[in-house]
Amino acid sequence: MKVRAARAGLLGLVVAAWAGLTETGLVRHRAVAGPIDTARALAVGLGDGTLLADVAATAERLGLGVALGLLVGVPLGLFIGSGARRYRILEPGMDFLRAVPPLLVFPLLLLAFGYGDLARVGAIAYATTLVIALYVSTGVRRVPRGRVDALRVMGATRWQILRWVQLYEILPSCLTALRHSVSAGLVVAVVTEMVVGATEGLGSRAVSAQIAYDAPGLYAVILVTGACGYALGALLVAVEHRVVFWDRPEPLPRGASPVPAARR
Amino acid sequence: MSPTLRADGVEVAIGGRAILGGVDLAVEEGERVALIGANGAGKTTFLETVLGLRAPSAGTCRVLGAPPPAAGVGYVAQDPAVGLLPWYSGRDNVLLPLRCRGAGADERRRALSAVRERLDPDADLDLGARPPNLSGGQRQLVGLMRALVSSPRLLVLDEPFSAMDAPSRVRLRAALRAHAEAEGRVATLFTTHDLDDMLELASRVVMIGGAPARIIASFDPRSADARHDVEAALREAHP
Repeated sequence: MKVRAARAGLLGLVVAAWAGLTETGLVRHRAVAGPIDTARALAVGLGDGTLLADVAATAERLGLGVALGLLVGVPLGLFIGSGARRYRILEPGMDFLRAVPPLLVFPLLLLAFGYGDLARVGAIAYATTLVIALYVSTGVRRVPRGRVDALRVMGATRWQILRWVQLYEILPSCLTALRHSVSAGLVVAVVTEMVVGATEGLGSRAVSAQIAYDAPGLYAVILVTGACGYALGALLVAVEHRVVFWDRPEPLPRGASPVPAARR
Repeated sequence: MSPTLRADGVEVAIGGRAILGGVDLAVEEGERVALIGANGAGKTTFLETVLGLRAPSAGTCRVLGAPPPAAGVGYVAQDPAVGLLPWYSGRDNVLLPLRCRGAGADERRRALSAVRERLDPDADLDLGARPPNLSGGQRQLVGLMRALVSSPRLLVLDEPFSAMDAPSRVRLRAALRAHAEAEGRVATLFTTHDLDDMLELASRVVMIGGAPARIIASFDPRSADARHDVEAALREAHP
């Protein structure tokens, strides 16, 4: 509760300082908009549906790109991580690819797929695949040997070991990877929308506002993008908390004592 | 009749270092053999070889007449927190060996009921709880139930009571002994550092030691001087 109150207080302070500097005329610049103009631009954009359409367009590209990233990254991570020798062979290649910024790959994708959404989705998929593959391969390598050994002694098949042990073990890594890849993918989605050819999307809307010297409109896009990223992150943390249930203690039944009866 | 477990000159090297240097051991049906020795002596390495988790670099190991890994082996790992799956309830963990071989619901229910009757007759253990919410001793009990649920012919137990309190230890020792005696054909190989475990549960105590390790002594726990002999041998081997 105290944390929430402190957060609300901090937000109030920032808005008050922002209003104090801009609405009083202390700071005047074409790149500066006050909170009232920004709120008005936000209300107009949300009211006429343009901002929501932009959010939907960006979300669609992001969703497709991340889905592709998962589709390729999870099996790739499993493949790389499940053999120490394989990991050693492929690790430098993965590091090299991770060092290449996805935005540098984007022009290549434009050449390959033309000025459509395919290139943007491809760039997001490139960015997310590597993040996911890295996390999953690390997750596989961290599976405690004792757990797999216990199953092997029972006569479990490889498929049973994968289903009952390895998939659970890599699930936390997959969800963390998903969280990181969504934030990385959002950056790539917005920037590739800014660069060329997009008519809808948060990046495209930001560039349109900049060309029109519409600072409040630009601020509105920034606020909406930040809110989307924050909401997605919070949603994924909640999902992670719910799915990876074994990392937290089970709640005690109502009225139960944490001390076993024999020790009381 | 061939013994349940037969190791002849088993040598194991890990990372180029010889750990086992020719272990010879036979465990007959119905025998309960305690394998003792200092920490790092090679007890767990030998158990892993018996379980088929490590291949010997020389010598042969046969379990139930075949090279390991063999079906019909129940195993309790040294660290129950690692051996059990935290995302499954205690019950599901116990039933894993039966699920591995595709046993039906009726068979699983019967087997669970039988193993519970033997090891936890008062149903003190909450089998609906997941391992992270159980104490160390309770986890070991789940591990023991899992090892016994599929009626194995060989039980391999790596310090099976190490996390248990004294009353649980005494009760489970008696239960395991009763199980082995009732089943008759079950052979048990277990490691322990506890003198009471080895003297009350084992029908034979063997000591592993040296570098690389071999079987260096054998004791009959029923003899009047067993406790003294084992203590003296441990002092001599690890002064």
